[in-house]
Formats: sequence, C-alpha cells, structure tokens
Amino acid sequence: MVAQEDCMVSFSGQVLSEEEHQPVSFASVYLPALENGVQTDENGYFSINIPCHGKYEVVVSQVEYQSSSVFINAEIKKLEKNFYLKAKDNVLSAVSVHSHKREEVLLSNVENILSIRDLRKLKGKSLSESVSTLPGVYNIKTGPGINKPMIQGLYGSRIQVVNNEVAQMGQQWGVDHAPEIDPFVASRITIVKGAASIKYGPRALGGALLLEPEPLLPDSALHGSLDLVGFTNGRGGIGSAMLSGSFILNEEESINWRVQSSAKKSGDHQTANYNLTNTGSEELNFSVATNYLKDDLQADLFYSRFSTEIGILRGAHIGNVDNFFEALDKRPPFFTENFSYEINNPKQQVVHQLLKAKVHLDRSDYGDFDFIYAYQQNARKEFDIRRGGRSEQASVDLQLDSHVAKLLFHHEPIWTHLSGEIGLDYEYQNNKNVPGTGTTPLIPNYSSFQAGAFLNEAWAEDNWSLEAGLRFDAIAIDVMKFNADDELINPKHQYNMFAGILGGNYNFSDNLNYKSNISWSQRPPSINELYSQGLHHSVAAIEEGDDQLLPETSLKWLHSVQFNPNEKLRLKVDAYASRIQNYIYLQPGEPRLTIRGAFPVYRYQQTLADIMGTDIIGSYEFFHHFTLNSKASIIRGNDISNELPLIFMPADRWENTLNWRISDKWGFEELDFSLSGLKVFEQHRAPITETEAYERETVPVPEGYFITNFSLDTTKKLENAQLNIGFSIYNVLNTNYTDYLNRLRFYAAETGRNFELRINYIF
Amino acid sequence: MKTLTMSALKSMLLLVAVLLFSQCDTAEPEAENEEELITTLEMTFTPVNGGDEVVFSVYDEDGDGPMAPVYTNGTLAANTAYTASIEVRNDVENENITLEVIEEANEHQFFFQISNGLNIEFGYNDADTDGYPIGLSTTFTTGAASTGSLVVILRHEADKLAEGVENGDPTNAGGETDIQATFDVVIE
Repeated sequence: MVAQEDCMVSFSGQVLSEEEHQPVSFASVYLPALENGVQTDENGYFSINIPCHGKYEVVVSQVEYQSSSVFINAEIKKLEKNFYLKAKDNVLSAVSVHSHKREEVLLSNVENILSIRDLRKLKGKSLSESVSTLPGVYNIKTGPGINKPMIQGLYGSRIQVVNNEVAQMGQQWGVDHAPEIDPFVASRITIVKGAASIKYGPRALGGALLLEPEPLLPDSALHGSLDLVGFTNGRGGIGSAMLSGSFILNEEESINWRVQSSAKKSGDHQTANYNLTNTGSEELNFSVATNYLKDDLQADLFYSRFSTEIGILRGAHIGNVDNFFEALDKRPPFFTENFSYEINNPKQQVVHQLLKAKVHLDRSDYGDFDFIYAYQQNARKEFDIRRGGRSEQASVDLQLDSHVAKLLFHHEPIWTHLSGEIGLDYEYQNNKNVPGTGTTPLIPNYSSFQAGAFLNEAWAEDNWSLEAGLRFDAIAIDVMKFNADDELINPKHQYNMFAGILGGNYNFSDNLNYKSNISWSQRPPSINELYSQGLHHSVAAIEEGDDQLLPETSLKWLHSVQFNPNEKLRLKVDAYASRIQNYIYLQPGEPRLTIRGAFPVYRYQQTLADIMGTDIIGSYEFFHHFTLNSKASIIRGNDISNELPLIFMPADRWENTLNWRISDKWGFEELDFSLSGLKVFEQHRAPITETEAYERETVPVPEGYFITNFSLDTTKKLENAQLNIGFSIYNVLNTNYTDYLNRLRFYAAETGRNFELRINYIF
Repeated sequence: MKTLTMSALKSMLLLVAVLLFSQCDTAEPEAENEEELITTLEMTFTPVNGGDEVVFSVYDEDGDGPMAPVYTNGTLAANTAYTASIEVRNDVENENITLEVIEEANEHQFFFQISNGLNIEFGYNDADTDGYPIGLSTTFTTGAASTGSLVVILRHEADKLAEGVENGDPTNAGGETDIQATFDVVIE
C-alpha cells in the first residue's frame, strides 16, 4: 500500500480500560489494510497518519486485554477516537508474546493493581506507602522512615513479597524491617489478597505483593527516563535515572539491556507541631537487567543492589517501663532538637543484593517453561544507644544468604478450555549473626531448606471458570545457638506443609461478575517466633520465642463482586472470612524484675483466630472525566480461644477522592486533579494494650482522624519525549494525629503537611 | 535448536545444583559477652563523723534474663549524716563499670527517689565537667526513726538541663534507665 502523501488524516486517540477508564499503555493499534500500526504510550495515547477517503478496520490489542476491532471512516482531516478494552479475565494463558508475559495470578484470586500510571503519582513514596493506597492494604510504620505492608490484617512472615519473580529473602519477621526494595524498579505492583500459597509458598498464607519491572523488548532506539522528586517535610529529594537499549542481531534475535539507579536523601521529618529528631534517611540503589530474545527463547540476567540507612526517632529509645510512661506524656518527645540531616543512633543499615538468572522457553505445541534461579544476600545492621563508646558497634548484625530456584511449566490449553501450570520450588537460607556485637543475638544462626511442588489447573468457558490448585512443601530448619547454660545446642525442626485452593468466577453479564475462592494453607512458625530472645528498646519489652510452636493453618473464603450497572457507576466489593488455627501472636505475661527495673515479657502463643472483613471500592462519573472515587475497608479479628479481639488490627477507614481529568488543555496532553479525604476511625477493639502488661494505667488507643491530600498531575508531549510533572500536598490541613498501626505512636504524632514536586521525563 | 536450548537448560540446572548444595551448614555461633551487662550496684554509706559503714547492694547475674535481682539492705542510724558512694560492676566479667560512668559523666546521672515517710534527705557531692551532678558521691542525712524505700536510678543520656534534674528528680530527664534498684531502708 503506497501512502498518498497529498491526502493524509491524522488519526489519534486514547486506549482506555473499559472498567475503570484507566489508560492502557503499550497497546497496539493496527490497521491491517494498511499493514501499518502504532503503539500507545504510557498514558494510552496514540497518533498515526493514514490516507484519507477510506474505511479501515482498526485492531486494538494489548496482552492484558481482549482485542477489539472497529471500523473507522477517514473522511475528515482530523480523526479522533477513543477505544475501550475489556480486561482479559477469562483467558488465562492466551498470552503468546512471551517477553510480555506478566506475573500471572490464579484467576479466581482477588487482586488489586498499581499500574505504571498510579505508580507515577506515588513516586517518592516507599513501597508500603504506595500499596497501602489500595483497598484492604495497610501500612505499618515505625516512625516516618520504616514502612511495612499489611494485607487484610496479616503482615511480616505471613506475606510473601515477590520482586521480579523472586521471593524476597530479607529479615521479614521484624515489624520494624521494611521490604528491601527500590520501588522505582517496578512498573506494576499487584496485591494478591487471600492465600497465594499455591504459587508463592507457605509464607504467602496472608497474601502476596508482586513487583514487576517493565518488560525488556527489542527497540532500535535508546530510551530512558529521569525522575526528580523534592519534598518539604524532611527537606529531601529523590533522583532516579534509567536507560535502556537493544542490540538487534537479526530479525529474530536481540540483546536488550537496561540500567537504573536511584538515590534518596531526607532529613528529619516534622509533625504538625514539632521536629522528629533523628528520622532522616538515605538510600542508594542500582540495578542492571539484560536479556537475550529469540522467538521461542528468552534468557534473562538481573542484578540489583539496594542500600539504605534509616534513623529512628531518638525519643523512642527508652530503658524500662518508667521511662515508657515518662515518654508517653512528653510532647514534643525527649531529645527533640532542631531540623538536621544527621542520622545518629538508633539507626538501621541494610544492604540487599539480588542476582537472578532466568530462561524461558516457548513451545507453542505443548507449552512454555520458565526456569529461575536467584541468589540474595541481605545484610542488616542495627545500632543502638550504647554505653562506653560502643555506639559504633552494631547491636544487631545479621547476614542472610539465600538461594531460590523455580521450575515452571505452563501447558497449552487442553481441550481448548483447560489450562494450568505445574511448578517446582527450591529454597535455601542461611542466616548468620556476624560476631562482634557484644550482645546476645535476637535470633540464632540457622539454615533452612524448603522444597515444594505445586499444580494448578483451570477450566475456562466464555462466562465462567473453575480452578483448583494443590501444593506441598517440605521444610527443614537447622538451628545453632547457646542455651541458658551457655552450651552450644543444635535443635532441628521439620515441617510438611500443604495448601489447596478451589475457586471460580461467573460472568452474569457484561456488568456483573462474581469471583470466589476457598483456600487452605499452612505456614511453619518463623525463626523469631521459635527463638526470639531479647529486649526491644522501642517498646521496653522483652520478647521470647517458643520452640514448641505448631504450624498455623488457615482457611479463607474470599468473594469479589464487580458491578457496573451503567457507564457512570462502578462498584467492586471484596469480602472475606478466615479462620486460623494455631495463630501465633505475642501475649504479654508477668512483668520481669531486673536490675534495670521492670519489663513486660511478651511470649509467642497460639490461639484460634478469626479474621473477616470487607473492602469496597466504587466510583461515580458525574460528568465527563469528573469522578468521585470511594474506598472503604473494614476488618474484624477475634481471638476465639480467649474471647478477645485480636491485637494490632487496623481501624475502619473510608477514603473519598474527587478526580477531574482534562485532556488537551493549555498545551498539556492531560491534567489530572485530585482531592482526597481519608477518615480513619478509632480502633475500639484494641484488646490488650502494650501497657496493661505493665500493670499500670491503660494507654489510650489513638483517636480517629481525618486528613486531606491534594495532587495535580500533568502530562506534556515533547518531540520524541514525554514530560510528566506532578505536585502534591499531603496532610493539607496540617492535622496533628496518631495512627494505631504506627509502633512509635506512644512517642510522637504522625508527620504534618508535606509539599511534593515530581518531575518525570521519558524519552 | 531444540537440543541446544535443552542442553543449555541442563547445564544451567547443574550449575545451580552446585551453587545450592555448596554451603549448607549452619554457621556455628561465636559466644557473645553481654558487654554492657551490669550485674551489681553497691552503695556504701559512711557516717561523716565516724562509725561503721552500711552497705546496700543489688546483684542480678543475668541482667535482662529471668533470674530475679538479689537485694542486700541495711539499717541507718537516725539523725546522722552519711557520705554515700556508689560502685557499679559487672561481676561476671570482673569489670568495674564505675569507671565508664566517670568517663562518660556528662551522659550519666544517678537519681534518688525517697518514699513518703522515710526521713532522709540527700544532696549531690560531685559534678561533671559542665558542673552538673553525677551522683557517684552524695551526702545523705537521716532524720527520726522510720522505714521506707530508696530507689536508686542510673540514667544514660539524660537531659541534665531539664527542670528538676539538677535536684535529683528524673521526671523530665528522659534517657534510658541502666539501673533501677529499690532498697528497703530502716532508720533507727
């Protein structure tokens, strides 16, 4: 087809998801008659010149969506059309472009996703702060610098973080240990609610958090991006740069690469009324990815290094129970000084390295194979306030080396409807206390082996699907430690863990979809639950493990209804109920008298627990691109054996956001305003406060609070480049509040108003 | 092509197998001495005008561990002035921690809390380089016969400028408690 230079029509538009009207990036817009096409950019926009006076078929497709085909008439000079794609919910494995393959989640699983577009607005936030914008996901804080995600009431050893297809192996048992991941690497983050154990192993009993980088695809041009973020609360900044390119060897083969680095520095944060001394942080991250692509083969090599230093609020470091009560009444906290970038003790230093190799083979006749191997090294040092010039000496110095290997076979559909995968998992961890701390180790030296196998099959019809999965893991833990009499002992543990899932979905109509699954999963006690021993300075409590603990067994029933009665109203309701047998929790016991005064002793105990709740997300479009989004989460946890509410369950919350999107105005491709208000209610069901254990007055739980945030995000098209500038004000009203899920709530309030500017340049 | 990729996969598997099983041993831990352990506080009351010393002490062999501290209490004479000196030790390692306290005198201070009804008063006898009290040496003056408790507290990184701290009140001092010993005192 020869282009007719004299008469061309500019055909442009945006590809959006049918359900949420979110832009679909990297979708192909193809005109078969012209043998010509174009890809949408990150915001779903495309533009192509086509000959006029013709009627053409346009095929719009993207791996995650069902293709759509529409006829257009190129009669006018400028043709604009938006396309709406339906999510590919029922088609499990029709993904043929292997390099595009996204992390696949079981289809009856209930999940929430942060797309590249959502993530752009969240640049500058930690991983956990970012995902906690999703319904049913909460953020556990230890001051402003340490954030840990919680999914539907469960966290730590019950959540599996999967970074770039590799199970993250850090010291995830610690409530004050944040995931060691640079969020700038991810272009998509998925939260799997409910048991994701089938695919991700026993630690995913409470759910999984999956981070995926941008796929590495052949492209003859050099591409890159630059991010700059500045924020006033903490007077900090973040810079990130990424560069990618390809060596196209021939029509079939290519070698593609990407290098990326990010750095962050922040000083002390501030609450509405005072400085939070020693809450600065620093981060320096680096990653390099490369792959070799051939039509049926993909080989990947990835390396990343994450390093951080985080200061912990100085006023939260206390001695005994009396110090705790003095600090509780003291505002601003003890040791409050003027703003500084200095990071002193107490502080954490963490370095996490990941080396990953992957081979992907596509056998269109019977299926595809993935083989992944990864080595990770996690080095964690924690520094305390110490006497006699020992502050330079780490009090906690742990090095965790781990190897994981995964073999996955994804078979082609059998009888056109049955698709599934089978996988083998291997995991080895070796944890070592680096000598020289001059303190009794909090957790002992150990090594653990885990070998697992799983199978998952799904039968998918046009409007319904049914699936079932099974998994088995054998886990052996070998511990070396000194007992109370200073004798070296070598206890061993062995666990056989099973998991199973049964689920399905049914499309009543285009407007109503129902999903449900029931899962059964088991988790062995983690190392700290078995052997933890020591004093936590931030809560003035002694924590003791119990090596006789039994595995936890969880039964969880999830429902998810998606209802879009008309173009304007969209509603998604997730509801869940779970029962966990041998639920492991910390129970405060009799206070212990020492030469330093009294300390409460917390011991790991087991009980029968119920956790149930609902997450609701809805939106109503008042007029074109002017939308009200509403999110609400409610969760209830009960300790059945002791007839008490469960401790540390998030309070009810409700967030409303007014969003106004304007296209093609004032030279901008897009302007996106949003104003949100988050209401968090008081947790009336907080049973055992930290202090009843001290046999003292009860510490009140934080009152409910309401905070407002504003943001404006813009997109500007430049020649061969795109510029996104965002501006936000968090806590607009500078509200002074405390949150139940902040472990330092006894010592200081949450951070106050924060202005943030984000600049993102992509070429 | 097929055999090539398969053999590549196989050799990779082999490599991984070597890596996986090469270092399977749990590292033998090195015994760590609890370097900051304080086991003993000894407070010696010497009558200013001569007489027998009275020693109060507390001994806690395992620090934060489950063993309870052992107290030795004494009897003071009524209407008598005493010079009290404090020694802090780690008896497990035969270490005199008093020296560390003197070395870091600006970061340390002893506080004394006297229960209602116990007729005794105290005053600091020593000072750090900034002129603020430490409390290793104090003067205690007893009144009429009575009984009650004397709480001796050693704070690390206390704010010595805070209100009342100079007079021995720890309420606004902050910092962390290294020692908190409660002695039963009899004055007769």
